[in-house]
Amino acid sequence: MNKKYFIVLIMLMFTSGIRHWAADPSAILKKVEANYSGQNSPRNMEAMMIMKIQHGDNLKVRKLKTWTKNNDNGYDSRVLKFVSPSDVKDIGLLILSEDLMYLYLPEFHRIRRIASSNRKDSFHGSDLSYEDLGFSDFSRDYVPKFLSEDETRWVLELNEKSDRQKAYTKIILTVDKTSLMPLSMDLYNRSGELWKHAEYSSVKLSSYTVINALKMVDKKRNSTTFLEFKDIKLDQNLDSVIFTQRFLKRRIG
Amino acid sequence: MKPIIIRWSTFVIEKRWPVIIICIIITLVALFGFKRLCFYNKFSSWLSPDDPDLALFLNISEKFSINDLVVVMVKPDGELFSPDMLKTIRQFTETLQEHEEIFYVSSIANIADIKKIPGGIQVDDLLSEIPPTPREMSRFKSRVLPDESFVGNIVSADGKWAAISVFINSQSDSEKVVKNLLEPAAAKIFSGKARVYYSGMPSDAHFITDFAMKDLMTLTPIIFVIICFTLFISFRSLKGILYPALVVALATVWLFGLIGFLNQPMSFVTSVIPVLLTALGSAYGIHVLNKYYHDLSDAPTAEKSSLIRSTSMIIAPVLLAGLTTFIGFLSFQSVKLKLIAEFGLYSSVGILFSLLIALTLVPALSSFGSFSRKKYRPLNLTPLLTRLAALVIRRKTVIVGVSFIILTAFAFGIPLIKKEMNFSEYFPDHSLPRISQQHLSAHFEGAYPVIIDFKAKDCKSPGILRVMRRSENFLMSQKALSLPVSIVSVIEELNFKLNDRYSLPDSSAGINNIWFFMDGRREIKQIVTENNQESLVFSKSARSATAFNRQLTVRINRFIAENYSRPLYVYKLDHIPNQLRKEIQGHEVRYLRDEIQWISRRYSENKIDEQVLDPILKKTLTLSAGPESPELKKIQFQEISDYIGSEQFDFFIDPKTRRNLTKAIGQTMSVNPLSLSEIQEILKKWIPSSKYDPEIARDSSETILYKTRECRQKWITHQIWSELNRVFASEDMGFEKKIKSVLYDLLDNTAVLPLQTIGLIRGQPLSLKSISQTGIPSMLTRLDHYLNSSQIQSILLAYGLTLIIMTILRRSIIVGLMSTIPIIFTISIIYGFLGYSGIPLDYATMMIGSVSIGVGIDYAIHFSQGVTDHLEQGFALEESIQYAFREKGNAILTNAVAVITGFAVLLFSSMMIMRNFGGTMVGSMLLASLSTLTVFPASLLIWHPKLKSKK
Repeated sequence: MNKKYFIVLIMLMFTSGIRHWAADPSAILKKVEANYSGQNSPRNMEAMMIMKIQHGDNLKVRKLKTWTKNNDNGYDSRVLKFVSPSDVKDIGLLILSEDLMYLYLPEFHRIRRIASSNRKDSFHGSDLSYEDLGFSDFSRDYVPKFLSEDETRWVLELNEKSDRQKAYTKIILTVDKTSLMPLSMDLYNRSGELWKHAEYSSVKLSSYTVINALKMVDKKRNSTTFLEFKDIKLDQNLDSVIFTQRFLKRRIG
Repeated sequence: MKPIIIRWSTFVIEKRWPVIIICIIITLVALFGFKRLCFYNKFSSWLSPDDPDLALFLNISEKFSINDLVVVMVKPDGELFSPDMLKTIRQFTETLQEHEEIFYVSSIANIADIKKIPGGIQVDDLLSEIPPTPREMSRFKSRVLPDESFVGNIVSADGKWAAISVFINSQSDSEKVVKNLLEPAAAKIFSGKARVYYSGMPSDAHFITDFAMKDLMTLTPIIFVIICFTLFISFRSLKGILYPALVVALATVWLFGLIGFLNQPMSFVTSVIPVLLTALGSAYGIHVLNKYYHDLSDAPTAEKSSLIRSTSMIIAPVLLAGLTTFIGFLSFQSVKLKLIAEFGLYSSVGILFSLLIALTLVPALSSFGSFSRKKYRPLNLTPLLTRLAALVIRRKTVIVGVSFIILTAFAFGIPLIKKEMNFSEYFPDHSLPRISQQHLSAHFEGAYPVIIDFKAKDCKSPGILRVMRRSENFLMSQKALSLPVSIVSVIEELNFKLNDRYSLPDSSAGINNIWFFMDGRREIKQIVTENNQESLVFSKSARSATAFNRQLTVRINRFIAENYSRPLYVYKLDHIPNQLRKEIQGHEVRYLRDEIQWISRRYSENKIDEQVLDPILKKTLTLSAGPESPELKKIQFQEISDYIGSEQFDFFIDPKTRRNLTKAIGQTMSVNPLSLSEIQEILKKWIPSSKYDPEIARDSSETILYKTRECRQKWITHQIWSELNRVFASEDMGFEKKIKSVLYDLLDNTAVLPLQTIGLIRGQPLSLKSISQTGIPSMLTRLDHYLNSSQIQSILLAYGLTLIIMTILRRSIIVGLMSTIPIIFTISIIYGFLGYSGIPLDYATMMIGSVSIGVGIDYAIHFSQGVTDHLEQGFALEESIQYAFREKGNAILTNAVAVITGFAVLLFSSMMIMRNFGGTMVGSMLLASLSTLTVFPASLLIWHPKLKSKK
């Protein structure tokens, strides 16, 4: 083969490969998932979560301590302990899988297993559902489609797979090309109407890029929830005892 | 006056072309207004916005979107509990829920299902997944059907019907939502699978609009054809039909065009106006034309001067007749029911238009061509009237006497009049809304919200929740109401599922722990505001009849007045000395026994009186203060043993240590009730020092102590329930739970009482700002109240104004009063008839009085004018009356026949309310005309008043 022709062929293959990867929505989605909660994300995380729920003039502020463990099976283990306000202080949630949670009710000295297949429910009056709390495995539930791109971001359209019953039938996901983290999501209901809009901001901590703030606007309810993560500590080799019922009863602060 | 009349007559005839062109232009412009015509039958728009009850109702609607409820009832062609039907209901629920016009939808698909699972609870939609096999479907059915929160609410007791409660957003036009969203969605989704029925105020409003529209489209042409036929009989000429028909047609077009241009929505009562205008307004054209035929007959062409003269002569009587009718309708302006006031205004404007057209366009048109008398053969009743006159003169005393007896007999029927404000009662028997109403009553608990609104600093505080529970329990005692719902029942149910006790926690922290589950759920927003400062106890009434709803409203208001007019105080019993605590609890027993009696009325046939109930309740306190029984100790020990053996026990210790620890606690318990320090000591002794932590030990000790206390309370409530149930003999789980809730209240540390001080202990004032009733029954009662006052006001006003006119006209108050004898006689008999026959007084029949006065007085005006004319010519009274019979009797009867025929058309209305109105107006007009020709002349003959005419 002519050497010149060979070089041109290699270049063509290379460039077409790049274009192919860039336009392959499944590949982009997989990368985002890996960075967000998969193999490229921290193994565990401890942080203080500030949740502000704004509904008209009414503002509710909740402060929670969270511990998250990135499990190999694809599901994070998570503990949430309410720090304030006082009426919910010491209530604890241990989330072990998609539909298995334990709740500690300090006033009744009891831990109760909470099973719910309805992850569309609001989390403690916020605009986030239990489904929104975790950036779930979108590849499993949605078919991605490439919509557009510019210099800094890709825009994907995720359509619910026919055999799934998720809260959102369609998601428009905007991804940052540099960090490979989500920038925003438009979430559509079953009538095809825009229901919620989420905006993410991320921060570089050691070798990871992690989400440190989220703003979720519920267009139907006309309310907004702000989530902010502070004092983020990554890969602290968290004791496995943290993700047990016994730890759930411990008082924080 | 006369020069003005002549100038007017001259003008309309001389300037006939401009008059005709202006009329054509106005008519064409008015037709454009038709595009904007619309109906609005939301009853809240019928009351004055400054009405305090309406303000509360609208405020609650805005905050909770709870009042605009439509219950969609589904009767599947096949099985309800089949995968296909359940999927269809789920599809319908989800389709509706995603529209912003809908606030919340509750059905078998999405109703919150909180069930116990080992070690916890499962929170799901009831139909989280469709049962895949017949066996699982059967299991699902047998779980749904016995549950009192589902039966009558989302499914019927026989499992053959489903109900979907659709709460429409308060900002949406609920009538349009039913028409444009609910009905099309149901038609599409349930097509070929099920029959669908609707109940509730928004669907009733939508149906009444449909019926009103149907009436408008069918009755208007019918009355028009009938009037044309009557005109043909009377005049036998094209002019004779065309001109009076033009009067009513143009008046109707002008009126509805004006309503459209003013963007004023019409109510269902407005649909009757074209019929009314045709029946009443045609008379003006008839009178004018009659005069022309009478004065100008057989002239080759009508000379303008003759025409002007005839027009001038007819203007005054036509104006007078129109004026009294106008006053009759205008009297409705005094009423507080906006739909009646609007109806009165529209009708009076319509009458003015009819008058205007009859006195402008008809003379203008009449100036073209001539009037032939050849074919003008009006109905000749003179022989009959002559005989009637003779009879009246001969038997005047008998006529007045018999009339008085009849009047008195009917007057006794007036207090028996029933009232009906709910328009769901107006639909025909076999119509969809009426059938829906029957299905609702037969299969479900209701569709008309009944609400008690609480405003407080914190509605989730233990004291306020107890006050709310009292109201909830009271509503439980009321017949034909659904199981009440509030944050109280939600908290109690969750407490039952989480902690196995159906009760209210006695601390705010406990309540907030439980609330964690429900915070954010959409249905919760319908019973409590985000800031917890306002909360509702919500129930539904299945009966739409006004009498039922009025009585219900009165009972609820009485309950609120009796229970909450005095300030309430909260007592925290933890640190109160024993003797005083007993005294407080003694008061609490007396306060809480009402609640037990109220609850038992819903669930049990057997009644329990205070003499039996009080000692049993006091036993609760005795058991609470007394020593623990061996049976109780055994239960407590088992609970502690389970806890220490579980993963939840704070210390991770080996099984042997657990056993030893359990045994040590058991030994201590057998001697004395456990104390915190004792448990801490035992833990310190048995937990290996390497694992011991004093803070964790304190937490564990508190847990153990909490569990022993909880066991004790559960055991006592169960003992007392068993004793009470010997009387009630019920196996209903819901009943047991609710009675135990009250019993737990006796055992806990919080007491709410209407007493400020007991002994030396001062209660804390409860932060309750207000308790008010609202909802559909209370609004219907409000409408009922206004109907009463409106009825009296409008009749008095119409009568008063008519009396003034008659007095001025006849220059004698006596004659004025006597002229009103026919209408007094007519109204008394008609209202008495309503009472005896059971025909209710409603938005339409309430107008009979004023309309009868306005229209009926015309006959007396004409007759008395006839008598006066002849008296002035020197005839004796008897002769004058005979002449009046011959001259005016014919016109009175002909006019009465036309008006009666017009009102009789309403008997073909699709709405019962209009049929009743039409039927009674037929009777009223018949009575008014006949009494004018009998009672009135007989009275004149007996009392001989001095009759004079206003020149």
